[in-house]
Amino acid sequence: MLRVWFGNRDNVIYNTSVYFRNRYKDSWITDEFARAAIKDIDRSEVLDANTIQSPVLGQIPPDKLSGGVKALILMKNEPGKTFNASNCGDNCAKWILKLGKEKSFTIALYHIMDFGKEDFEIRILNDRKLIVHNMREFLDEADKYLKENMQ
Amino acid sequence: MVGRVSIKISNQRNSYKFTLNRNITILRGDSGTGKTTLYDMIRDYNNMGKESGVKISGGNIVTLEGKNWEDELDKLSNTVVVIDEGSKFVFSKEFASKVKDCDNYFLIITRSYLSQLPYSVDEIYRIKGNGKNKEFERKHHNK
Repeated sequence: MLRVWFGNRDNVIYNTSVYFRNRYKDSWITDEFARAAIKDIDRSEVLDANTIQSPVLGQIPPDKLSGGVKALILMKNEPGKTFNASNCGDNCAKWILKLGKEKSFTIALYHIMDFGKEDFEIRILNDRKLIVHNMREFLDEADKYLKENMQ
Repeated sequence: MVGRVSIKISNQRNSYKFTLNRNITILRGDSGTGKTTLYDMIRDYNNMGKESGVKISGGNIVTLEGKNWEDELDKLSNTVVVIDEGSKFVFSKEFASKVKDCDNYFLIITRSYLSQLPYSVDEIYRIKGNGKNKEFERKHHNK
């Protein structure tokens, strides 16, 4: 299940782009999830582990992918770590929910991400017993805990 | 700085045109729209000047990052300061205080809730344009 922590917390990897640049593995770039997310979000094609064809930037290395895609790839491949998902735009939300159906991991949010109109299950770690099921419930918790933790 | 500042930044593949109306402008929006590409172009220009291949017109513009951000910021005046989303210091009271007491403009790339900074909802933008030419578009339209 996807778990969310709102606001500052110890051990969050805040600058996911720097972490990605230093830790990514070739296999992370060429797997099915990464190929599909890169195509959807960055409109780019993975040619091999070191080369991505971008319609705007030409051929780029993986560390030039968007911040959102890099954060998603980290969430998939290092689920034991907590990454800053505020580096992800709303166009990454469906991918985060998809990962949450496949494995348990925690993200930190410093803003209100729009997870869309469909129902979902997200555990709010600021209130360990609470699971929210839609954006209305999610918004209430986000508003409360972001105000509390971001002052 | 006072009033509007219009900036143009370009290289072979990307051209950004935008106007900053106030001392704090927030840039956010979907992933993959070119926010960090803009930041990287400004950083390349800061490090290498015209040799970088990046062209900038409209005013002094620099990137700010890393542990020495306070010292770097203290040296700047009448400059557009650009901060990328990986810089956590934007949450701090120290940063808010320095923003208040200086004459620089700030372009902050972040989606995070910045409770310390007095920015206007009208000065939150996203990047518009999928090809070479990109502009800033207000995220919240006035009705």
